[in-house]
Amino acid sequence: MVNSVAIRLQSRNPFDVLGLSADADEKAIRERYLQLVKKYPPERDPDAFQKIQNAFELVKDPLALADYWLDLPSPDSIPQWSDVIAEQASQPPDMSVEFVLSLGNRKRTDATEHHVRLDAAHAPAAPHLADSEDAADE
Amino acid sequence: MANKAQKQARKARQKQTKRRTERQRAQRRSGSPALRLRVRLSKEKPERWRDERTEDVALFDDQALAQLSPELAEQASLVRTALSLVCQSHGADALEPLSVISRRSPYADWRLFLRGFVDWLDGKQDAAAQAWSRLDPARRPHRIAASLLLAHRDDLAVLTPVQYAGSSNHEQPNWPQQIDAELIQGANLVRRVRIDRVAIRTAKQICDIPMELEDAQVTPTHIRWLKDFTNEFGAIEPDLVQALHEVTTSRAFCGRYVDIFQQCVKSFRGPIFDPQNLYIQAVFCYESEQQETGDKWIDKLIGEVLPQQSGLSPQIQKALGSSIYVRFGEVDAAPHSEYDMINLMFNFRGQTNKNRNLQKYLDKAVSLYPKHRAAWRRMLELLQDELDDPQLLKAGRDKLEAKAAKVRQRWVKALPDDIEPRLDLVDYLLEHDRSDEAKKHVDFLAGNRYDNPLVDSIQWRWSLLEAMRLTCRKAWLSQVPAHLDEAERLWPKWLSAEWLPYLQAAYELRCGNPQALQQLSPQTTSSVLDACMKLGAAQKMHVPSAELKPLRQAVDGALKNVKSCSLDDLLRLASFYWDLQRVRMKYPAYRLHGPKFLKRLHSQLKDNQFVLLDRIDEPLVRGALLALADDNFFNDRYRLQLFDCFNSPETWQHHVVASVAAKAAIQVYMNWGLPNLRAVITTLRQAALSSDAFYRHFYNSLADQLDARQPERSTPYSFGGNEALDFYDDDDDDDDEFDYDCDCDDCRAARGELEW
Repeated sequence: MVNSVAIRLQSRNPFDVLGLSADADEKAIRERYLQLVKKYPPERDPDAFQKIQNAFELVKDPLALADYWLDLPSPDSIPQWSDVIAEQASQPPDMSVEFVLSLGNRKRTDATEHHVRLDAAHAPAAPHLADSEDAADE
Repeated sequence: MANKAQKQARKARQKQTKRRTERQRAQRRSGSPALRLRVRLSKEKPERWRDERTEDVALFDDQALAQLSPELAEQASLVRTALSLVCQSHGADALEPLSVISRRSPYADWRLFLRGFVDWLDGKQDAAAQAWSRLDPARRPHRIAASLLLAHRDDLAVLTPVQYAGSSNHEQPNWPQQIDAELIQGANLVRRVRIDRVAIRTAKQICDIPMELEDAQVTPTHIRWLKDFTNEFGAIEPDLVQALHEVTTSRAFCGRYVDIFQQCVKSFRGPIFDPQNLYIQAVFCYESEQQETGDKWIDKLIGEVLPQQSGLSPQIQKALGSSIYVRFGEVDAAPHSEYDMINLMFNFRGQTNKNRNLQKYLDKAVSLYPKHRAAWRRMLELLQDELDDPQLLKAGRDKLEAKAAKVRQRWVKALPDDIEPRLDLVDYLLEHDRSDEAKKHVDFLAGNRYDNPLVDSIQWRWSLLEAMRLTCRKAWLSQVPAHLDEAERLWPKWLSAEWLPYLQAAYELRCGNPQALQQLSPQTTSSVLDACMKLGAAQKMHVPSAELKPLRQAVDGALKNVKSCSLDDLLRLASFYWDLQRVRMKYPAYRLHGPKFLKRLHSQLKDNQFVLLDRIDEPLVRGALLALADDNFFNDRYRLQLFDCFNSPETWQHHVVASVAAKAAIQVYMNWGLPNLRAVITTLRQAALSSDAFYRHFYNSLADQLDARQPERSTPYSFGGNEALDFYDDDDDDDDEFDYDCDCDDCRAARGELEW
């Protein structure tokens, strides 16, 4: 089973930074770290390297991670909604397998035709979901 | 008082209001773009088109999968798994199993698609387009890829197949050559889900909700808004919703209103390790002196909730539980009232009881996660505090020492590479005639390489301690010379060998030569040092008390005339004490006269600070100052009491002053405003580079310990964070903000008594 996921350098969760699931074992953590250090060497991308390094320091030591997670905010450093929204904006949600596969659907009625001809004269008008949806949104 | 009819009428009104509110919410939701998007997404299923290849259909249709040959069915399963992993952002690693698919296989197109898909998810559209340019346009992977690429077009909202055909984009080799209406629809959906993200736009509203109350971090309006937001977007943007839940609960925790905090913890999901927010509730209970309730939450969290978090490795689960125990134990043992403070400062029995409670927490912590080094260290610190009690009787001391030895045994079992507890354990075992057990630890230390001079000299210590132990019984005395010879051979270079002849003479005395020590030609010009070395050696070699008496008298005589001792004599004596301290071989009578000699030395140095600064580079002075520091002459357990000439940061650049300041700072019992000793740490680290083996390790170790005690590090006595319950706030400016006994609205609100 592969433990790695796409890395999210902006995330505050060290597992996201390394692109690992939180149940990754020691070996997987070390392998992933070495992989990422090769990909983001300090001389080429010092910021990314520092983030990876910091995340690795936390993830490799369960106690350090526990302390990191258990630290509560203080009145001097109250977390801001805008910060998490900005962070989440850079992390689009996952798409389901069904949804991805459905992107390849064709109209049943048009099943005999594999492609709409790119001939302007023969192209059918597209029922435009976005137009109607966005209009409704407004 | 309302009658029955009035009650019924009120109830009916309430029901009607509730129904109306729910109806309004439902109406709001049904018209929301989020709900429409969710409904739309739920309808999106892959459907087979006429003449579609069975290999492609097999990826979503089990019947089609069953029709494939075993080889192709296996490849289809691999593609299914990889697609699922990639959709969950499992990166390029998910594609490794697909390497078994040959280029001629019908699934080669899917492998190509997935490679591009990983790039596309990573924001590398050009790389994705490049990979997808070789896909067969008649097959599903090409259509999916086309939708994904189209989703990034700025003109997607107005794009039609006809316009696309007329534009020049399709002429680029990496773009789909032809599109249809379905592709545009799919691209629109992808754009809404991954690029436009209406949830992000909507989420920004929470920042604009005004705070209805001054000092509030969260208001009921925020809570209502977030509940609605969760209902709308929980299914399509779970990470965003989760992040908003966590930040809102954290803000409520920092705020002043108890009821708001309670609403938040009940309404919103907690972090990955604690979805029910039990930890933050327990902290709140502890800080508001409801420890029993807090304990209930902790037990539930550690006993029931954490083990169920399958997304966390067992190691992390246990480490979390262990850290929670330590944190709550420390807070439980911290002073909560003036009475507690007095107990703490004067070490009354109450504080001892609190420390015993803390020991129970620590015991739970190390039982749950035995590699919790800080918990082991804290356990031993607590036992040492009890051992430092001057009124402790021998029986009590023995019991505590045995307890400490057990703790050390458990510690080295859990963390075999930890040296300090193992060295202490060896001492304890040898002192208690358990050399067989001690030998195992000595062999372990000798067989491994550690950057610690005491470990490097472990064979020497073993020989010397074994020689001392063998003098316990007459029958064993014949074995002593061999061990003493071995000790002489292995004597460390960094340690003065002045004491060795005294030990050899003391052995002679133990064997029955009454003149052995008397005949020993003085190894030093200092009579007081000579007397102390003789007494120390005799005690260590188990000389009977009758023969110790004249040796004791000599030391007592020197003590009586301590005022006549020269500064040099006292410096030599203190330096000898430092040698004993650093090899952990202080003799029992030391505590009767050692501190008194040191007190005199301290007084003399205090009066001759210029002389001290002149001679600061002498090894003798360094040893003497460290002996003084070791005996708490430079702190009173609550603050530093350095010589005036040591108080300026300029002098901290000298390694001897830095080491004295560091040692004193580490011994301060509570960190109540230690000065910033960064300069000291820097000096120690630099000095370690050019010192002998002992001081290289000693300076680095001091720097590490001091680093952990710097003022910017949080003290272990508070969780921090909760403004309303921050009882021991040292910022005087805030002290007037609310009063525990005041009944004005502000103070009641601050105490969380105002209802919403």
